[in-house]
Amino acid sequence: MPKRTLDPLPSAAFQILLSLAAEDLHGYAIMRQVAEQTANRVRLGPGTLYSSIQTLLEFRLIEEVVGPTTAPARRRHYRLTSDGRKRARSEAESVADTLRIARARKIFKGDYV
Amino acid sequence: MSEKIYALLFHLFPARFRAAWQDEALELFRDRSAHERGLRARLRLWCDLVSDFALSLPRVYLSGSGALTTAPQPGAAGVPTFRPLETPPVRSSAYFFGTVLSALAIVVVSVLLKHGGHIPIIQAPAAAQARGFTADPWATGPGGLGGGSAIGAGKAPTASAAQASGLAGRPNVVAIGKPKPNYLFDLAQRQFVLDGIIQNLRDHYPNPDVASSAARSLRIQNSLGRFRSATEPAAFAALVTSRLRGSTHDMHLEVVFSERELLAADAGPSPEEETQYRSAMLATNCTFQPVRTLPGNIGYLKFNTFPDPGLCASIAAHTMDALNSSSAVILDLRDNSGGSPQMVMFLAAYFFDRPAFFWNPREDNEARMWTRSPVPRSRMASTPLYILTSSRTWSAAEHFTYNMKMLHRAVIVGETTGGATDVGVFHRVDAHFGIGISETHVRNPYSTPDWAATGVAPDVSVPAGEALETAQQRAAQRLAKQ
Repeated sequence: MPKRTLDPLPSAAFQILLSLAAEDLHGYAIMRQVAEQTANRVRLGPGTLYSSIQTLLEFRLIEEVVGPTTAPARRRHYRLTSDGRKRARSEAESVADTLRIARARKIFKGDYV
Repeated sequence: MSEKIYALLFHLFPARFRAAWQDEALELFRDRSAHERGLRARLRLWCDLVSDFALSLPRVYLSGSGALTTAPQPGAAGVPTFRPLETPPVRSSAYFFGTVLSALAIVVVSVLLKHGGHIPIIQAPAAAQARGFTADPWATGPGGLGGGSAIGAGKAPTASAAQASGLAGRPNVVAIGKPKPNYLFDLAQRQFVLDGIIQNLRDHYPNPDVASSAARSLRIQNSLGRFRSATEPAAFAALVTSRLRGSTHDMHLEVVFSERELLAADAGPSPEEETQYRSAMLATNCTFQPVRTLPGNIGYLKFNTFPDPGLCASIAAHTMDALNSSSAVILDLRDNSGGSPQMVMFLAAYFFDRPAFFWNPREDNEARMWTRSPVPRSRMASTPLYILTSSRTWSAAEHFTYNMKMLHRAVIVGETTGGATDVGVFHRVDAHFGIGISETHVRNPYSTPDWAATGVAPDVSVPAGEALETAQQRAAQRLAKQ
């Protein structure tokens, strides 16, 4: 049986981790948050969203929590674990490194990126 | 309804995944459906869902639960790090699926090779034939593509008319070879034809500036892919013609595709064709029907070609003599498919008492555009003249009609003529393509463009079937006033 790895972290999984950085969210809210933080470039479909959530749960990068009492009972909410936060930070630093290199190679036309 | 469809589609996922996530996924679907209303939003939703299935299904099937891998540790500064893209071994079931998919691919390719290999690449000749294009591209009269029909006016000339006109217009006939149905008109050939057209424009067009500008325009349009849509050679010829006419405003320019192979331009008519022409002319009195005298002493002559004067001058003169004593003359050109410009001048001379200018876009010598009037024995210089026309009136017949109209020498009764464009010199580009260029340097003195592509409009517009009756009435009224 092949083992799923998160190295490198898939883009969808990274976006989900980022979306949960501020608050606990349920599936649809994660989808909305990801769409918002990517300027609507990434719209996670149910298949991608829940397969990613499943993987992140298995790797304990996120965990399921009890949602607010006002939310419908069947909605599951997710929270970033400390491992998840570390992993998100590590990925963000990697992206930042890449960005620095790109800037040094003068990929960008201006200095504001 | 759409939720049910989505729930059904969700069954494509493995049972374990469904058991864990189906409720959540349906909830998400419901949320999105509730928030994304309107046709556009719904379309986007379903596009997202379909692409989501395409992306996530293989991932869900191919992945299994795995142990936690540690987050990558950033390497020391300056030391490159490597990340493995795929570490797990291949599943045994993957070998099975791989084998099945490979076998399927082999079967599909084999079937395609067997049944797809005989699809003809070019079907244009058959299509062109079906549209009634004739073999002779530059015969005067309605037979040739030079008749303007190729430009999509929907006037497909008939083959029999083509033969008649081909005979009549002997000086302008281009020799035609055997049919060659498998003319491969690929991109390279298309480029070759286009280059040939441009070269001919540069070499033969009377105004070098216009030629140069038209050539540049063709090249630009070609580089912009404007001719890409015309994959059939006939359509390509029509499209290039319309572009050329658009940039030059010269309706005589015409790119012609002939389904039959065009022989070299200097091949000329064969001795057999000469004999055939001669016997056809003699058998038909050079296509002149007997002169009839209608009530009121109106002379009526119908003739269906303008035959070669070298063969038919005496018959033509004899026929005109028969009209000499008429009080008015009606020339019926409704079925006249054209022919010799020399015969146009020969006949026209009878109707003037001094040389008259007859514009001829085929002629480069202005001196030859004057009729040899007066004809000593003709008494028709001031006889009222009526010309009957139809949409089947072509080429040399239009040459005759146009000038008579411009000179106000005749009243044209009937329909607008066919609008033949076969007035230029034909240059062969390749075995099937050619270009007609009017190479005259003489300027048309009339502000009204000649008949090319547009035809000659009648003075009295009536259906061709009623033209004779109308002309008779008009003639009778005019004679009564005298």
